[in-house]
Amino acid sequence: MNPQLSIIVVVYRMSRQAMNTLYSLSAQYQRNVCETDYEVLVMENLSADSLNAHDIAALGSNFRYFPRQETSVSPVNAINEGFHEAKAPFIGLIVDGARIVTPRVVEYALAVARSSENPLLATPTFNLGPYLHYQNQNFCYTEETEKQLLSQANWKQNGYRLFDISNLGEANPRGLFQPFMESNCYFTSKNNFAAIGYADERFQLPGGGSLNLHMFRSIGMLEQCTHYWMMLGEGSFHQFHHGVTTAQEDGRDEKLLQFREQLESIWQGRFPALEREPLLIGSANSHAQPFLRYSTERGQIRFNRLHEKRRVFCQDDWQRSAFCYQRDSEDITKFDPR
Amino acid sequence: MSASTNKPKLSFVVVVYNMPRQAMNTLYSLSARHQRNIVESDYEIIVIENSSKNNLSPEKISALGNNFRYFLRQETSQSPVGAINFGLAQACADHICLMVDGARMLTPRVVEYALMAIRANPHSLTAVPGYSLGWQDQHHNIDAQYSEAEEIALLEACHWQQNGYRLFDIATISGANPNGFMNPLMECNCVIAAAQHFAAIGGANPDFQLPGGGSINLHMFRQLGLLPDSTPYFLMHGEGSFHQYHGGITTSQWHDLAEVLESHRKQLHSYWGGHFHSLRREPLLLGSTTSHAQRFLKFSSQKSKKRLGRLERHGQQPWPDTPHNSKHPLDY
Repeated sequence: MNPQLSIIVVVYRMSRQAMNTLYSLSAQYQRNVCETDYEVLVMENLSADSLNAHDIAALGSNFRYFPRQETSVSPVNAINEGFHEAKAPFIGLIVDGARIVTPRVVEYALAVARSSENPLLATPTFNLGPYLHYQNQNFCYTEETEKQLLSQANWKQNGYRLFDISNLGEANPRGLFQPFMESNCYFTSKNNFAAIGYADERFQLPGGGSLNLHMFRSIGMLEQCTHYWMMLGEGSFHQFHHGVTTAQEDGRDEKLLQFREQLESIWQGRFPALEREPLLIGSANSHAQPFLRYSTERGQIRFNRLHEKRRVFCQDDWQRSAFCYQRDSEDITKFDPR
Repeated sequence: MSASTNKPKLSFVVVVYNMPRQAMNTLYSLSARHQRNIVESDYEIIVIENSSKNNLSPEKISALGNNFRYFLRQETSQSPVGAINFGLAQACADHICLMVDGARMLTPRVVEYALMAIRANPHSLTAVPGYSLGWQDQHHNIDAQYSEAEEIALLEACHWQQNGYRLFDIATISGANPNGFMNPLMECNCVIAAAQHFAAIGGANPDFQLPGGGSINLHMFRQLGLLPDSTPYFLMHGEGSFHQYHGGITTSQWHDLAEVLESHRKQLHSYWGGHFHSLRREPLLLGSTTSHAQRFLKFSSQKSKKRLGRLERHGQQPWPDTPHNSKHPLDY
């Protein structure tokens, strides 16, 4: 029987981090699901620090490993090969293999796939350690520090402890109710990926540049994508590695500028975060509650600000106009065409 | 179209007695005019009225949509138990939403999310949290002098028919979940489960013959929540069922309220070996959070954090009522 969900994980030169990520996706760690429900496709661009096929196979019979010789510095081709190999009609994409997920991500992805016509489901992003990895002042946060942190938290026993040793990711610094620029672990139908032309091959900059932002917004703006969901109480946690934008390196600002220029040239000069009303799914245990509370506080601030300006709350829902979300709150009286 | 495609996916059973103004608001809130992103044929509303001097008008009900079915019953008991069981027997759908008290209005996406919960898992149990219209819980109305006239004015001023989420702006959290909806609920006045689950608990127990049914609603909610395969347990955090002021047994001003409640409690505990408890299962939140509902989510999150912290310090499990075939309730 074919799986209901295919999760594509792209890996390049991060064997330690990727093995944590893959363990977090295995049925040993994910709750209330079994191996036959989903498959994990590991697309690795080979390097001097590659994964071991036996270690991956030991994680479960639902893992499929694709070691690839790749000349491009972008993950575009690896992603597209993943789409080609995926057996399920619903797909999860983790472009950066250094992200550990919490234990009910797969369960909720399957629930959302069943519950609504054509959903996009995002997972919020967090950073392990006390601060964002590219702000790693004086290089005092190292792989060693992180290894210690992870082993003290004993995260393999209870993945929710990752919340206790992390900070908010830069993709969602203001919590669940503010628009997301991207998600580093998101799920949608294979049809939707096809509708946006899969991973756009123009994104050939290192790490793909802004490819992930582009794909996330493109899918969110599809007319056929009726429901935008957000996982509550779950997360994807970035581990320290020498990623293109997540490590502290000289020239980071110039690289980001280059990425933004490419993105804006494709989006007619303006690339906003996805302003759609999120439907929440999930529970919040004590580890995740502070994040929920923070999110409600920031959410209220946002609502109040937009209310004062007489602006719609969910601009992109309006522009897609297919659905009636918060369309008729008295707060939403004026459509701002920007 | 075949008969099976005409069959609704969800049957609402609404019990009404001597409250036509309030019940018409409730029924309007259930209609496809007020509920969003659904169509009439998705669901049916079964209105069971125990006859009084103040009956509903069948014409007005049918004007709300083709998916309303009205039954007027002659009932000698003061309990709604007979009406509930009659209503459950009329339900065509495989899933039922029970509303024991017809005075509770719903927000606009309850039907949509209920259908999603059923699709996510047909065995799921789904609760819509309760609120009371007005600035205080209605038990305390003796002091607050809250009257029906005041409530009518509040409802008119907020134009809830245009946007049902404004009900949050004129309401307080219900006494049934005073610590928010992420702590265990005592009961739920808008609960969705499989018809077979309602059958498995034997419908409403006819022994509950006290006025208003006594604690029948608490009893049924806990029974449903303890069924071994009623997973997962969803909670619509951004929706609500809003209680309107009426001469309800436990929700209005009675000087002997304490004694009435004590008689209810005694009966309930006798069925649960002296240990009736609110349903301690981990709720999975489902749905959007409008600006109107945000403050209640924040409140519930604060209260939940407090409870989970206390239980963790005492080494107690937070969700001991979770059915055994589910693996998830390990965490604080």
